Amino acid sequence: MDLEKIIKSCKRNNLKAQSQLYQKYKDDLYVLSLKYCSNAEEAEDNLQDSFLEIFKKIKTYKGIGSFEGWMKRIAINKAIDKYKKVKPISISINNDLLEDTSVNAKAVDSIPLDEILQHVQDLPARYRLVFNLYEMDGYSHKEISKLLEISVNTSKSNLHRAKSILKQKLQPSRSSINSFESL
Amino acid sequence: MKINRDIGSEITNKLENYKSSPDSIVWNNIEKKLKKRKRRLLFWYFFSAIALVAITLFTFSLVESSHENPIKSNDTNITTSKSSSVKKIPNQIKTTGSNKDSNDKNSYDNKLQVSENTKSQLNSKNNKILLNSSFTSRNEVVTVKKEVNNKNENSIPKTNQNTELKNVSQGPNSLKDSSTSQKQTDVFQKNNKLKTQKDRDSLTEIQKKNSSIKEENKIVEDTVIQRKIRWSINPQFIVSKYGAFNAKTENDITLNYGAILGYKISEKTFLRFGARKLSLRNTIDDNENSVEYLEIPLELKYSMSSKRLSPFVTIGPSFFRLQNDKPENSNDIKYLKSSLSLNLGVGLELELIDRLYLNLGSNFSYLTKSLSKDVNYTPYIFSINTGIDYRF
Repeated sequence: MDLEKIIKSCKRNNLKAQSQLYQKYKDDLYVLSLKYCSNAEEAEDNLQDSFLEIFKKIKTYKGIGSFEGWMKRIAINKAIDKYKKVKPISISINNDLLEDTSVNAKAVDSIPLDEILQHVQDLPARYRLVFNLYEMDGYSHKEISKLLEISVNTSKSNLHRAKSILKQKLQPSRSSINSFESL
Repeated sequence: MKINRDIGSEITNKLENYKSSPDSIVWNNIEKKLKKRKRRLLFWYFFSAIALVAITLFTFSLVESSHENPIKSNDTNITTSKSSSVKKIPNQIKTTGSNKDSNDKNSYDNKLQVSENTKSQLNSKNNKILLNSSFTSRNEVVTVKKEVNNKNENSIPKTNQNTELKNVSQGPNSLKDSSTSQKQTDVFQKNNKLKTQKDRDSLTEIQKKNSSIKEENKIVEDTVIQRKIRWSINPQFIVSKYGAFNAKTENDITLNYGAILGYKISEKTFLRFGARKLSLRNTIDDNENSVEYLEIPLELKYSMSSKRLSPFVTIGPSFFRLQNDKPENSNDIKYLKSSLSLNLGVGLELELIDRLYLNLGSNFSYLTKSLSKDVNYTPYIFSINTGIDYRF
């Protein structure tokens, strides 16, 4: 069944079509949720809530724009909603953060994907959201500031801090690679 | 050679190739919630439809009753005139005499005594008033009785009435003459004395009539209310056993719900229709069958008595429509989309308060079509239901 037919059937609350839609997009939305959440469990919760919302709102999808993009926006919004519900009281600011956020491409290449994802997930919630929204999903700082109800400057600062933290975390790996390269 | 890149874009590029799948439990949870949501939606659609039908029927019955109003309003007028006339009697008696006793009979007797004791002082004018007023009182009651019963026998006996009318007609004339003739006055007073005795008898009779009028009033009012009640709505909870005649079933009890709308076609008979949401299941030869039906029954309900606690029987067909085309079954049976059943039920209803009844009933449904073409057993549904029946 092609996507259009699946969507049409989903609009009629057909369970079979809903199952097909889930099977088609579960992995993509799960990976997206993994990036936005702090662990796999949270990501599964986010995925579940996202699909329920998708099936609920699918009648409002008029076929304008990418359906995948529409679904992704729902999943991102769900993650943001969760963040807003459990807003962190404060974020500890580390003044030793690096100014330069560029890394050696080879060094990053050698790091397993799971490890990189883990580092992203370990970021403070707001830094993680800003990093993902800006870097991975192409939101502007203005859009981020609206979504997260923060100022544009805070968004920029949060992004920089997120990158600095990630660089610091990836540093030991990079050092080991460097030392390996020097051999 | 070192190639420095922004960590953000570097991580983004790397994670683009990341693949992972969620646990299968995620879909199970989603499916459960979707089914629950679907059920809730159906429930609301169903009750909205029932409410809409009920409102429409209620409006229709109101319009219908407004067409019947001319007849009913006559009835009411009769009732009102009766009661007002009955109430008027003591008032009119009171106005004629000086005695202010609350007891009507006493006041009337007292007045008569006064008029008797002051025979010598009695002038024709007073006498005329007394006679006229007492006669008027009786006459009103007589008129009311005629209106209510359309029978002359309920009115004051003709002989008395004639005598009184005669007296009254004679009274004023005689009084005019008596101002000049003592003899004529004595004759009139004698007649008057005779009349007061008759008045007493008539009063007792009037009081008897009053009480019978009151009873009649009550019957008329009850009849008017009874005539107005036409519809009943009965939301119900149902415990259903989904069995089969030629197969042993297990795990076949489920809890369901529904609502029935009834139209009163006679004193004890209702024509009822409605909808029941049935989630049925059973296990036959280790095969689990799970079907969701929407049952639309059309039945006659006959109450076997008019007492507060009354047994009733129901009989009629039902149409079954398969709701879930992908039931969670352990086999690949293709279930029939629709089926028919013949139903027979018995139950008890208890009048809790005015118009509100508690029902407890049992129903047996014999499905004329089998569950599926793939199986050879004939299913039946035995259910126990309970609910509140509201009549309007």
